[in-house]
Amino acid sequence: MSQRSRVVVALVAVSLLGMAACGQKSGVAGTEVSTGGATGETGGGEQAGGDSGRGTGAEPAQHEPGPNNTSGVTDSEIIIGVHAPVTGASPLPQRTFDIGKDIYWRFLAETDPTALGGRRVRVVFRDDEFNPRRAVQVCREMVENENAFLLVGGGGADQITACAKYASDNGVPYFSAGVNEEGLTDLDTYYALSLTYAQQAPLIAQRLKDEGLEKVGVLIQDTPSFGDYHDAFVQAAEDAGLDVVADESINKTASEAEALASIQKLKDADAEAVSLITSPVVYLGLANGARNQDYQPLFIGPGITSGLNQVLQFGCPATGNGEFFSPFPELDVIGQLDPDYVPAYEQFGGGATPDDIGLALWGLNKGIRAAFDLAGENLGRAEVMNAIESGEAIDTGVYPAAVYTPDDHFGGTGAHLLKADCGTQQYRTEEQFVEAATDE
Amino acid sequence: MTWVKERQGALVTAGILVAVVVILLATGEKESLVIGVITGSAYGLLALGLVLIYKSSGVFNFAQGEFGTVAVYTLYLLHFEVSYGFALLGALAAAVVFGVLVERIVVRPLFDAPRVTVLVATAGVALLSIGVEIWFGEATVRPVDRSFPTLDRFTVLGVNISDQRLLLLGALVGLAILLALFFNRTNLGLAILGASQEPTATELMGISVKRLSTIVWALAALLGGLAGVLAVPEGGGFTPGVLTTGFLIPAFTAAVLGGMNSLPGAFLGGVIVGVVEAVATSAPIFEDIPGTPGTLLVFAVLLVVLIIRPQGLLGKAA
Repeated sequence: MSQRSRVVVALVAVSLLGMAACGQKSGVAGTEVSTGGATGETGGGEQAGGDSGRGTGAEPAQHEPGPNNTSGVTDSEIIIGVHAPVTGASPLPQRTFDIGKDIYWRFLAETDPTALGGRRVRVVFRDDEFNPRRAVQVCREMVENENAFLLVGGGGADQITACAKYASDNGVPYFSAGVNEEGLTDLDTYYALSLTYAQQAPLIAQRLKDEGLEKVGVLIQDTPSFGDYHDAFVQAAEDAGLDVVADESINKTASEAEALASIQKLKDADAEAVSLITSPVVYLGLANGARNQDYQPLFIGPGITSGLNQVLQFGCPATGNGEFFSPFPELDVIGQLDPDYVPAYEQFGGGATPDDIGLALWGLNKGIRAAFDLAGENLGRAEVMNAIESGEAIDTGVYPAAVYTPDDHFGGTGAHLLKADCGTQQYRTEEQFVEAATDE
Repeated sequence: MTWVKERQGALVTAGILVAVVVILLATGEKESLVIGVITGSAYGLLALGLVLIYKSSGVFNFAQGEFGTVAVYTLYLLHFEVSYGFALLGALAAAVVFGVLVERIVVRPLFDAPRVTVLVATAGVALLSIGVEIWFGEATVRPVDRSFPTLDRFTVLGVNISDQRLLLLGALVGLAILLALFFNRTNLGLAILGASQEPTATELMGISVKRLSTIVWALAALLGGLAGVLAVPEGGGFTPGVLTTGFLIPAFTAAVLGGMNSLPGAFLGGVIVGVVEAVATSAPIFEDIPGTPGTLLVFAVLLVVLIIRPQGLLGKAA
């Protein structure tokens, strides 16, 4: 090939790449997951109870029991499937997750053997590797091979969204702490046990206003799941009179150069606070990059995983300026809010020290137990979902109360505000049960 | 005239780089330039090891990142027991031992196998290493300290340069020059090059090709280890396979961009990859590109360079 031909080919190749990139919709890359299998089929596979009309525009129908309505429930046992990333790009620590996943159920079995009709709860756990495709695979395994009665997402918004879609297609109830709304709004069997990210946006904007911070940067992980939070926060900031001086997105596996360039833009824009929603690993990289550049803004956001103490243990002093709204409080106040947690952890935790991952799972499991109680002893998937949607509050004393209706499964009503403390390398519960504004 | 013709690639590259730097400065992307240089030096250091092994044996070493990760883990573990300096030495020693073990256990038995077989074997080593790291230590984030705590030794075009960054950049420049001299000026370096091109003739000259292979892998592992202990602490923490997952692909890109048989090319390639990533993140013109504009742009640049100059910017045609 002659030199001239090479130049022409190169220019054509670059043009094609540019056109391909420009033609894409923001956030398309990498997260489209097919749930496959019994998707959309009636009466097949694990179709169990989910047949309601949420999102159809008609009067929401009650969930009807399907052929596998009581799969995973016997007179003596209930099987729950939990997935979370303990390997992959942004992992949670496996050991603490393994310990914490069923402490509440073991505590319940010991202290109240007649609860849940005398049934014991067995928790099956699978690592979703921080990969939505893998999440669907493990959820399918837990439902089809392990007979999980319901599914729980322990962390990772994209994985939760993917697995919740599978669960909804197959009539399996699915619970997680509140994450994104996009991709979850129309799912019949999904229930957020706490405020979604978008619902937390006004709380965050208000907090910034209360702190006297005016210039705010937005830094959101580039995934379709977080688009709703971005829009909600920008609107909330505008409503609160804040000035959004920078609006950036960052790749979920951002390189150091990308992280540093993003931080530099926020610094150049003179952002006093950064409304952040990323994985903890990306947050650590950003916080370190900011510290290296002598830039110490307040990092604030909705936090399930970024508000975990591990982020401070590994990230301090760089993460010392973090504040996150969280569904669960921190260890500093759990003794007042739920005196059972620490003793139960000490009793069933195999000698491990109680931590906030265990606390998050404790609160989540308490919420599921409350849902079981609402359904009564005649447990089936449809019965549980119908009971939850009755409008009765699910109040655990750990997570703020949640209330669901047939057409609103984002039932969270508040959040706890956690503030980083690098002295103790633990988050402090700055405010408890901060209430979200209710719709008029 | 002959002088110019022989250095045509380097001169064209230099001209293009000067033009790019001028454009970046003129368009207000001066900070991206500095960020790219300081972050790209980590890619360059890892790329040096890749080029070293490729130059001497024609193998793409997918385990290069794990030499660095092993060093980082060792640094993390030893620092609980001994001072940072000794922990650093121990970390580099661990990387070298690991490199030698890989050569003796995996590479040497495949000495006469097709190069693609060795490539797959090194990928297997990387995956196995990551599995072992997760097995023994969970896939959790761990903190690792810097060699030097000063974060703002200099401020260049508005970007703070830490002592650790200076050390990394200095190590990269110094090693690229030293290794280039080693291959061009020393008997051992020439023997390594000779063994890669004519192993039988090299053996007939009384030089042990297998021994040379061990030396090269040990040296490459040392470079990987250096990349790990110098680059990873800047990010604050690490997870299993941190260099393989976060640095290896950009380092391969840097090595190909610079020329797989050029050690200074590895340095140059690393810096270019870093600058392109930073510019793609920072420049307003790229902000509507979803996902990973940095990666997209890096590979676009790579494609253009390979079409125009298949041997890479500073590489020599086979």
